[in-house]
Amino acid sequence: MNIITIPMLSPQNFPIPAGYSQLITFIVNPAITSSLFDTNIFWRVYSQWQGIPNRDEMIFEKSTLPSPPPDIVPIDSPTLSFTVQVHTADTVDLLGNYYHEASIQSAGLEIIGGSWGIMAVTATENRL
Amino acid sequence: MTDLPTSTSMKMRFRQFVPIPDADIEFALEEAKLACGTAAAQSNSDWIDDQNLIMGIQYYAAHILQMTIQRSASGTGMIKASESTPELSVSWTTPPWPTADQITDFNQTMYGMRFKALVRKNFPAVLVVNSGVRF
Repeated sequence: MNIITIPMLSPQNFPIPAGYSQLITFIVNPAITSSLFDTNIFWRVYSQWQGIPNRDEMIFEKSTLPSPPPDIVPIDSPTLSFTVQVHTADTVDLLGNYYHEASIQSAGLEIIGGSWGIMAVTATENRL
Repeated sequence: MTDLPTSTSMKMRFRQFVPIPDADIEFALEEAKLACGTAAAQSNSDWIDDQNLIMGIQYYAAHILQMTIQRSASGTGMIKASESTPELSVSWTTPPWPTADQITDFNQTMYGMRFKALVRKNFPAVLVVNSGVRF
């Protein structure tokens, strides 16, 4: 499995081949929080055009919430970060640029950090 | 309908764009599709066939990317006119302003010129005969 590492708090663009199962790692600035324990983390992907997101068209989302089974895993050590598991079904029918945004929600339901950018889904042909 | 160009196909077709991030290429393709039409709009786009439409999108996007490379090389938006070393004498030229008969900068890259040639082939000057309309 390939691993993509995403730094936090600045626009982050990254490519992902359509239909590939990949683990995306977001690095969290320790100034935001010293621990991701007791936080909720959301990562959502939207359609966009020329960098302008269409918030009315969310393509898929991941979170640390228990249902459905969480695809986001918070990590406190050695590097404050969280991983997002992208499955084959998430991107197999996608192509081109999509806007992505991650948000960290504190126990007090405040948004304390995030990251955003373009996820470029690159073309693949094999459908197994 | 053959699939329209993607960042993957652009990097295979134009190897010099391999170092460019996929997201940047996709943005150029979005602009090219707007200019040339897409599969959904093709019935109204009047390109000769799918292959001509695809070539048009490829050349339009390649032109945008090549212009970005040329102009970013200066850090000023201008195009490098000459450079000599080791004296390090570099001069920059300002791209021409659009004119009535030359509304874009297509002549500044080989992709732009190919796009213009393709457009001429697909959209020749119209010869209008008996165009009068009476009500």
